[in-house]
Amino acid sequence: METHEASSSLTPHARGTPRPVHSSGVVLRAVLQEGLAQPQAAIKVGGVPLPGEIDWPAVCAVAHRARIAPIVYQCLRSASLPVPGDVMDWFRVQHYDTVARNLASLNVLRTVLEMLAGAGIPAMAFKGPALAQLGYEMARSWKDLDILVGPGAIDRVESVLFAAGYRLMPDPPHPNHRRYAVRGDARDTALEIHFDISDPLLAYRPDVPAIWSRSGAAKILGLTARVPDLTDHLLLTVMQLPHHRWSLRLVLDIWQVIRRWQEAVDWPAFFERARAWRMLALTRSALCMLTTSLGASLPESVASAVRPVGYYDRLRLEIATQSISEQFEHPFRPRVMWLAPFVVTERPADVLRILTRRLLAGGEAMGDGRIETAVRRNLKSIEVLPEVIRVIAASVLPPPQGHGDVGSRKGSTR
Amino acid sequence: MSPEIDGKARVIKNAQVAAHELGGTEGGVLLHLKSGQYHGVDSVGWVIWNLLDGSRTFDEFVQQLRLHYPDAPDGLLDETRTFIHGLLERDLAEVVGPGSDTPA
Repeated sequence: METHEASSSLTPHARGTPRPVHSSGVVLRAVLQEGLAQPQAAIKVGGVPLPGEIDWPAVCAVAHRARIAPIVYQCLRSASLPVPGDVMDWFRVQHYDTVARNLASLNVLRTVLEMLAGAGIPAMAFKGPALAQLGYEMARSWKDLDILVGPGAIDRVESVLFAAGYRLMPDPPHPNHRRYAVRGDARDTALEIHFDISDPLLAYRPDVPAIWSRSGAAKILGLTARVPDLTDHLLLTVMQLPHHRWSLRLVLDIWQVIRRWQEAVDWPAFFERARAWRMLALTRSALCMLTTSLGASLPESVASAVRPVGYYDRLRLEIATQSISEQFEHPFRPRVMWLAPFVVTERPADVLRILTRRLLAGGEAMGDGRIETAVRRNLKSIEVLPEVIRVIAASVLPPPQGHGDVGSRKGSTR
Repeated sequence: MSPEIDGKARVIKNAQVAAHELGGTEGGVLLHLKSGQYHGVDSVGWVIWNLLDGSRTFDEFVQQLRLHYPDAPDGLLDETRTFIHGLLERDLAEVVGPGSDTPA
């Protein structure tokens, strides 16, 4: 028995042999697909078919960048893939560090919720730990603590937080939340108090009063808090995808929530709300991409509802697929994913409107430097145009038979 | 310096420590909420941590541990004492007065 201080070090794995070198994307997909298909205590069976060298430093770099290293570690523990000891040690340290950060963050959340309850301010925890409870639990990393309050309560919340020593962070003003720094927190936890959850740029319109009315108290990682109902929370997670450029962490969240809870999700209501919130196209593309790119299982009726119909559907799916591919392979060099937030829209006509707003406003942040931000972002958009044109052209023809066949699998839901 | 642990000492977790089990045979993570330092403990350490509720003297504690690990080597007593010393040094646990029925 022992205690040990966590430390992070990684010796680069020997490379340079003529054998094929598997990229981060190939390895991560294989490990996640195998690992997430097994219960945690599973005996190692089967195998990840990866003969040849693995670029482990690249795998670690992508996992770290995407903040999914603890989830990958969970999968590696049960995967049959042989992993070098130093690589496994690195992942283990990431897991320890994430669990420790999460414990500290949960302590902050408990304190803040108690303060708000004491002041008689209804508050709902969402994203972060509330989402972790539905998915990977303590292996899911988060940095911000997101709390939704009523639209008229933000000034009272601020008084409570200031009295407790919290301070407003010097971010540009945001139309739907304010961010506060936690006093004496060495781990940089940010408290994000939302008084709205619609997306100002992309025009998604979640029905906030209905979300409140459907929410309820639940245990999240050991503390009790009001949280959105499961179906709403899944949709709210999908809604974040464009803003976060189809981040791997969110994609894995959605995948895991569906794996664990697909029989509890109210699917007819899910699609009905997606339409009412003006995010049906995004939702269908996201779920379809999960099945075609990651092999996720969906109920037959859901798989059928998300199957692409027509050119614009295929284009959206292709862009989602390319985006997630980039996230797996080279998240440091975004190409199609740079534009994905503005192309995966309800109607083709929305693209021009959103791009124009983005050109003029530089995104949703309206603070100093917005012209510079707008110029930088739009130069980037021009740079990736050839790749986008390739995707647009590739979507003209219907996919070969078998592609997009998402309806036949119906595996375990837990 | 951490206090000596004699057979009558009762040790209890520091209330300012948050803990989480890692699953499998990995033990757990202990986070000192005030200092922000965290520590990994192996699976045996995790069992010990969970037994540190202040209800047993150290001698009773070791007996309880032997029930968990009937094949434990003779050095269990010393190793447990060393481990608990480590917890005390890191302010992860504290000694409650000998003979005290209720933890301080």
